[in-house]
Amino acid sequence: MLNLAFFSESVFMAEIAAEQKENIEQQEVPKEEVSSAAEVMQTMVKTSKAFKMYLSNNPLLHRFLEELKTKMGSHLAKYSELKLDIDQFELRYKGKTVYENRDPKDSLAFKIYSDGIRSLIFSEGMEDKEISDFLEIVGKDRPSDIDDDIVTLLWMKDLPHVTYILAEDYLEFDTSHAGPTAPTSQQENIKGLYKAIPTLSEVVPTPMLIPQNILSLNEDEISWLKKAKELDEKRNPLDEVVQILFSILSVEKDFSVFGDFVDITANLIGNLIHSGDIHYAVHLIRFLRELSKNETLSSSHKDRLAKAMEVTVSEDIVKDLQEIIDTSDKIKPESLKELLLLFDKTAIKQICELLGIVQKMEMRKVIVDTLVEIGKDSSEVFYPFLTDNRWYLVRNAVIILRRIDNPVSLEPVSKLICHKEPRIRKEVLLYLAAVPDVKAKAYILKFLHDEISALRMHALKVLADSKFHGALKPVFEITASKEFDDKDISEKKAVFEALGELGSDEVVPIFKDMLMKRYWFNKAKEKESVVLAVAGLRKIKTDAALNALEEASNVKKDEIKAVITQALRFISAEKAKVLTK
Amino acid sequence: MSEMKSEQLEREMIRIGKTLINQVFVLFKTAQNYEEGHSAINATISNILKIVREIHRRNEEASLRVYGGYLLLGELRLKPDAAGFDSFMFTMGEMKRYYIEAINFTTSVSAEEIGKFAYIFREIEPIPSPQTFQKFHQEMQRRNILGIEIESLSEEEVIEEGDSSELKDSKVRAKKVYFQTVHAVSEVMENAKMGQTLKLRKSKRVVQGMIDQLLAAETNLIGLTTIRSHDEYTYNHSVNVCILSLAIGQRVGLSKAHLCELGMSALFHDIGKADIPLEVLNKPSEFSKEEWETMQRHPIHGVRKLMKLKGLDALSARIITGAFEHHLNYDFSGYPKVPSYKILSLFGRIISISDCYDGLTSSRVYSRVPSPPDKALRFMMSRAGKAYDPILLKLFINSIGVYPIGSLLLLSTKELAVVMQNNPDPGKWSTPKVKIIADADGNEVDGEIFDISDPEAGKAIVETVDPQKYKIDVTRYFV
Repeated sequence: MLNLAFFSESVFMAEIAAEQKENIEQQEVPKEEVSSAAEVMQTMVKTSKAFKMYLSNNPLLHRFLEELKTKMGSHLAKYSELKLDIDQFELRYKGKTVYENRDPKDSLAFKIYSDGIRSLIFSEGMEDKEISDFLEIVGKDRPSDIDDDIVTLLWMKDLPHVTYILAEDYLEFDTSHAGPTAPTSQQENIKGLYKAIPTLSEVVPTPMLIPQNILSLNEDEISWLKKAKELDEKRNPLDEVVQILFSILSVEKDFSVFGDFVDITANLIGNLIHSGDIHYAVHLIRFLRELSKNETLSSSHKDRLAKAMEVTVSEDIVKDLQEIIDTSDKIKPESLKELLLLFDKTAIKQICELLGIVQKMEMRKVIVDTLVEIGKDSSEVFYPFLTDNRWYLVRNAVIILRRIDNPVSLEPVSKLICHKEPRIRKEVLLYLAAVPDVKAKAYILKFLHDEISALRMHALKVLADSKFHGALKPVFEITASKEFDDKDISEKKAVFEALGELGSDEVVPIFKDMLMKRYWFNKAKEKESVVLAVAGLRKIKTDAALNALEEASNVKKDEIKAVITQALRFISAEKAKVLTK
Repeated sequence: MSEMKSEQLEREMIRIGKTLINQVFVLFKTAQNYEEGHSAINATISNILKIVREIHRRNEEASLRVYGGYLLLGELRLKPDAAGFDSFMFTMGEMKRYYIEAINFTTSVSAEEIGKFAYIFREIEPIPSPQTFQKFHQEMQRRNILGIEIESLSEEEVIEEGDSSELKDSKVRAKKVYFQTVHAVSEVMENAKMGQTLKLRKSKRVVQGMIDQLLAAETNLIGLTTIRSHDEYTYNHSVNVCILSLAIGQRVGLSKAHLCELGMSALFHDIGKADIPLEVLNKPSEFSKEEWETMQRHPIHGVRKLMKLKGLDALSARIITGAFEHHLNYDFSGYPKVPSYKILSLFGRIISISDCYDGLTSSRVYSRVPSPPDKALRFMMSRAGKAYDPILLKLFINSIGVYPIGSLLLLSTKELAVVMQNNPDPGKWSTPKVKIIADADGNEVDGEIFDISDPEAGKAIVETVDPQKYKIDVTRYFV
């Protein structure tokens, strides 16, 4: 059994530090040299900060870099190397401190020390690009848990004039037991061998015929290797892992192992969504769906699978998705739709939550489209969102219900008629307009008194277009109300148009009175009265309407007459059109 | 845009540099095989001249320089890939043998001078001393070669054969890296057994160190793979598979970053064994049917362990693939049986080869009786194209040798020798470098390492011997 014993780093480091100190004390370091090293360090620190703050083409960064290259080049030319000993917060050159910063968040020494580097050596011949590459590595912040630390990055970069010594390089390992224990001398065993091999005197060397093709690569093989290497460099490791998971899940019989892999896959899906790798997440979810339909799978396996898939869309996933959607372009609309469509009805609630937090309009539309598709047989899932305090979520829920077009949603939606948010009321009105049920039209009547003019006018139009006779009286009452005079002309016209549509010949006498009425001292009022009546009559288009207009035309003058005449022409033309058809 | 262009130019120069090295290698070999003046060498000389002119046309220096285990073209570092690995190693080796650090083809170099230069290598027998360089340089002057300049090897580049301090240092470093890795693996595996989160940073560091060591002095590290585990408490097997996989990966031409991923993947390919009962793992005799079935579950356990304890990132994905695939076999005849899994990754194929070789030569697994290295290799070769990727298996043989490192050989002089290193010359792979451990009378000796292909040695290989059968420990010669 191998017995590895090693000394702790601290003991060794203390010994080495003491030894170094002794060596250094014995040789005086010229002040000029230390000062040169310190200057290089100051410039390096300044430049590394600039790397963090500025883009690579920033002129200030370039200036610092040039300065560093000059100073470094000058020091190396004079002293052939710059070796820095790294302490936790300090960098020392030949025992002298040339840099110190005790703030762990800011200290270059701390950063390098934390990654295990104990000495850094810059050698003569160091090229400009090496300096930039070095600063690129040490200058940028990285999460501490990733495997690509400063040492790995320096190693991969392989800078010929930058070397380092690590903490582990100081550790010793007891290698005296390098395998099974063996006697110091093998004489006995060798003798045994020589006894066992008979007729050694007849030993004749037989040339070993090595076919050249075993040893050398031919052109095709070289070409294959090159392609294999290139393919390997381009591959996405996730492809293989996904394939491995598919393979294992397809054949694994052991329930516990199967369950573990199902959980692993579900976790992976969550992680992939978190990182925006939607394509793979979709791939995995589809696979699990297909697997659950596999007839060779036992019922216990299927149950296990179903259970894992239930929790596929968690709150965390919703938050992760929202963050990626709103802060990056990693997820395309079609990918998002693809992912959401894979979730079943049980995920509607979570997807609605997603809808409630996503900011990007385009993506909200995608989510709405998807919810319509998923929820077409489950309208009731959306009802709780009708009372959400996020107005846009409520509005979107109404939109979804309208598009699903299920009349059972009428009651819950109609409760929003008096919602304080006009944008919600608008959607409710649209919903009610789309529902053929006469009850919906009755609900629309309430919009006739909405505080928003556009909603009132739209309600009038809807009622008129639907020929809902029950609206005639309420609309007429509007004309008699105190507030009517304060409405703007477009709304007034809308009211009378609605009256005309709804009342037809029944209201012609009223319009005729309005046409004929004289306002001796208020021509503006007279004109308005005529305009409104004409608006209503234009919608009626019957002979009665025509007669009323003709009569008024004979009586009125100037621009009022012109209005009437125009209306006459319009109605005549409309009638002629009808006759021609 | 200018950055892209400069990258493209660099790539082109790298391609030109590799071609130059290949042609220089051919030049050396042709000069060895044919007398001076033979026309066989003319085509190669002409190629070299063309390449040199092309380099000069681009205002670059047409020089090859040995530097820290690499060859540089001017200042551009050239990394060998699968196609050129051996020519690289051989060219670098030859330059070092003659204590030449750099060869510079000047703008005035002629075809005649290139030819004369090549034959100096044939004429002068190098001795392990800087005097070799002096001799070489004098010969160049005598032959009036002005268009080629050479520089002598600097101290850092000199590693002498035998027990020089540099070589010792290199071996010590290899040993340190090896045992650091064993320690790092054991920490992770113990965490895995206890179901704790896996932290791989330390392992990654040691794998990086291992790659550096491999690039600098591959043989030392491969030699340490003769350290065999005999139980499941130690993790030599994981480390050996890592080293052997990296040796293949290096020959494939993987970048350092990819080598690191491969190393990590190989290091933890057996992490699933943390879930196999120890009494099964360490059973001294053959497995029963049920025990074997339990054992065959470890790839799936490995995937489960990694996904639960490490989560998924680019590195862990690689390790997961290695853990899952390493027993599938090239033709998917292995395990686990997963009909829907159709493509074996490059890493899976590499690790499969290394794992099998180390497994066959250990006493832990399969038949519980280890095979000698050459027998293991022959077994694997018989299954090339079925269990093992045939091309990658070739690369594997290239790295450990036809007589794998650690093989015990009986020589024609009746001496016993251990294979210490592959011969860098591809034409001499059947004659490795060996160390004599017993004389013709069977007396144990501490012999020098020498090249069997050297005619002056006057020795030849008779047969391989199974060290396990005679309880001869070969590991001690590498540690």
